[in-house]
Amino acid sequence: MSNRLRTAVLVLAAGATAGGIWFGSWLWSTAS
Amino acid sequence: MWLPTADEHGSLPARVRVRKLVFTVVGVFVFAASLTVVFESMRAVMDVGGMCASGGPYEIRQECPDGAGLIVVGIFGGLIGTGLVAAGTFRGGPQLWTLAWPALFLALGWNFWVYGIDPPPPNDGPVWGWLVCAVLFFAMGGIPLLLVLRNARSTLWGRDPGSSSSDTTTSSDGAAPRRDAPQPREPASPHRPHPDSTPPRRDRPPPPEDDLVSDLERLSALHRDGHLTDDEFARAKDARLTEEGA
Repeated sequence: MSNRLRTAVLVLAAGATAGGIWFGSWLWSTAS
Repeated sequence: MWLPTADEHGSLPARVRVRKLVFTVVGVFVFAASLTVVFESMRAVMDVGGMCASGGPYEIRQECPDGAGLIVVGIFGGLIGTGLVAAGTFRGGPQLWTLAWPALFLALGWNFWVYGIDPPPPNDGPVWGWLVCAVLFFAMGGIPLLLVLRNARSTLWGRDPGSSSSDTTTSSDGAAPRRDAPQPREPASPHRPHPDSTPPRRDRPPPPEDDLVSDLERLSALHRDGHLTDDEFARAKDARLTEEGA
């Protein structure tokens, strides 16, 4: 596995984490 | 969007790489959203004293806050997200699923700690039950996190299977290494001992008695097969015994 692919995985995972936290907060604020 | 080409990564097809990247992104997204919902739901329940109920035929002392039911959705979502991340793990790549357990317990342990130190009314002062839970959750999440960080180079960055982990094998679709996979074996050779067999004794001559016995057995076999006459056999045996006695 190349370092470029590793970097892509980590960058995408970081972005997905931020997006997931935002979406979870939005979902909670909508439901509560 | 940049994607690695097939030539850069050998036999891993491009569609498999795309699939794994999608699994990773969707899995991390679902896990993060689910953990956020569980985190917020827990805080909402702790705001009303830590216990609540809703529905059913009984008289309810404390109704659950709106949205508290999402905690069930969050739990199952977290499991699904972790499974997707595990399915999207590249061979020799970052093992992101190892962070799911520490993230869950450290996040919930933080809630126990904050609310244990400064609980909402009518509680006054530290709530020791929540603080005990906080310490327990910090230990359950912190110790695995320390283990992950201790091997961060392989768990969070990845390691090529052929570099230093010679005891692992990989599947052709780029899945995570499996230590229980059968190792390819070379054909057996009469001149080369099997790798799994006991290594031969090196630079150590056999005991003299073994050498004598084997020689006598060999002479006896030659005599029995007719290659030595009775006289030749007797002389050879005597010579060998004499040599041994000297």
